Amino acid sequence: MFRSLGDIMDIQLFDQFVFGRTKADYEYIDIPLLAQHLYKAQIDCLVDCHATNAEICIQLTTASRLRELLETQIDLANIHASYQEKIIINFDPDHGTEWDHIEAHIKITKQQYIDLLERIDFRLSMYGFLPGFCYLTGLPTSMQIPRSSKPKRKIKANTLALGGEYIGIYGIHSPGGWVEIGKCDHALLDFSNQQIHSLSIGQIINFKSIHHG
Amino acid sequence: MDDKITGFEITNAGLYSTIQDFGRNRSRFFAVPSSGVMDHNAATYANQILSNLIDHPIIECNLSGMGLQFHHEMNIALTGADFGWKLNGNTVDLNTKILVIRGDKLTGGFSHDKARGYIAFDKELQENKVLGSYSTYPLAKIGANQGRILRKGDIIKISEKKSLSLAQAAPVIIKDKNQDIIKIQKGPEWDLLSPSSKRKFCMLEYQISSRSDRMAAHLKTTEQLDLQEYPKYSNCIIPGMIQLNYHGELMVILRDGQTTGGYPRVVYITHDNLNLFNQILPHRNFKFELQ
Repeated sequence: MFRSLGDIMDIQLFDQFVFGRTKADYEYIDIPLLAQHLYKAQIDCLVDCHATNAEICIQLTTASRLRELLETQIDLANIHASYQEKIIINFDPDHGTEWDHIEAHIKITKQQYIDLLERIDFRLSMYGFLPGFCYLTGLPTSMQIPRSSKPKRKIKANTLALGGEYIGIYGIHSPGGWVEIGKCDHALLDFSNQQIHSLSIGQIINFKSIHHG
Repeated sequence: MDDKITGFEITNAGLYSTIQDFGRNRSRFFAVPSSGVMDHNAATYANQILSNLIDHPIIECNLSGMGLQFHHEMNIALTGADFGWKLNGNTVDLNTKILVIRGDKLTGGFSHDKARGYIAFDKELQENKVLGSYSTYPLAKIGANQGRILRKGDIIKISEKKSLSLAQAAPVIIKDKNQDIIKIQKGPEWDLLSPSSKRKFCMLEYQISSRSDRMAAHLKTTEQLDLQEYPKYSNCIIPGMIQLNYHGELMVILRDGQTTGGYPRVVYITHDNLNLFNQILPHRNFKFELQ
C-alpha cells in the first residue's frame, strides 16, 4: 500500500529539519521503523533522520526541498523488521550490577529474574539519549524498576540496564541513572562502520545468560 | 624543537579546544549528534581566507585562546573571538592570512567580545574522519585527536592540501550582528508554557550560565518560567531547540547535544541565530525575539 509521506504525517519545519507525527488514520505506523526505512532508502533530498516512538525528525539538504520529501511514496507494507538476534549477557560482571536493589524492589531472586528475562521476546524500539543507546520494549510491568534518582558517574558501554518500562543497552561509557543488571559479551557499536550499530530497529532480541549453558 | 615533526604542537590547550569541521551527516539516526563548529560563519570565513573548502577541519577555541608552536611553514587565519592573539609576542590581526614559519609561537588569552575563536590552516591535518567527519565528539571519543579535546603536548601532523581549493575569490565578510537579540520561533511545545510564561518569554533578560558546554547552554533569568502541562513522550531534538526542564531552567541544545529528550521544546533558535547565540559570552545579557 503506497502513501506519500505528506498523506501520513502532520509536519512542522524548523530550518531544514522536518518534525512529523502520524495523522490519526496512520497511528498504527511504527515511527522508528518508518525512520529506518527512510534512512536506508537513499532519498535524494534526505540527509539524515531519527525518531522516537512519538515523532520523526528528517533533515533535508535544504528547506526548499520539503515538497519533494512530502511527495515521496512509501510502501507501508514494506516497513517491517527483518530478523531475530540472541545476545549473550554476563549477569555477573566484576562490578556495577544492582541485584540487591532489584530483589528488594520486586521480591524475586536474581536467578528467578534472569530465568524470566530469558523467556521474553524484547524488541528494539528506538535509539536515543546517548550514541547507540537502545530502548528495548517488552518488559512486563511486574519486572519494571524505576530509574535511579541519583545518576551514577559512569556506566560502562554494553551494559544492560533497567529504566521503567524499558530495558536499555548503553552504547558508550557515560553517566546514567538506569539500574544495571549485566553486560553484553560483545560491543554493539562500531564507529568505523557507517552502519555503526549491529542491531536494527524493530529487531526481536532475546537474552541468554552466559552461565546458562 | 623536534626536527622530525611536520606540523604544530599544542603548548597551551586553552579551556575546551577541539578540532571541528561542519559535522556528521547520517549519524543522528543512531543517536550520535552531528557535532561540528559552533559558529559556522566564523569558521567558514577562516577557511575562505585561506581558499580552503568551507568545511576544512579547523581548531575551535572556547572562551580562551591557546598556544601553538609551528614546526612547518604554513598560512593560518584567525577568526571569531578576539583572544588578543600574538605571534612571537607581537600582536596579529584577526580575519587575515598570516604566514608562520618553523619555530613561530602563537598565543592567545581571554576574549571580551565573543565566546568562540577559530584557527584555520592551509594544510591537511593528518587526522582520521569518523562517520565522514573530523569533528571531535569527546563523549563518544570519536573524531580528530583520538576523539578528545586538545591537550598541552599534543602534536598535530600536517601534509600538503589535497582537497580542491576554492578560487581566490574575496572572502564574504560577515558583519557582526547584534548579540543582544536572538531571534526564535515557537517550538513544538510552545503551547505547554503557562500563559504568563508566554507573555514574559521575550521580555525577560537572559544570561548563559558558566556550566554550559558544547552539548547544551543553560540559561539564567530573573523570573522562573513554568509549564501548564508536561509532554507524555520523548521527542526528537536538534541544535537550537530550547527545552524547559521541570525546575524551570531553560537549556539550549547545541552541536554535541542529545538527539532525543523528554523535556518540552518551547522555542527554537533558527540556524543563523544559533551561530550568533554560540558567540555570546557567559553572564552577558540578551533577549529573545519571536520571528
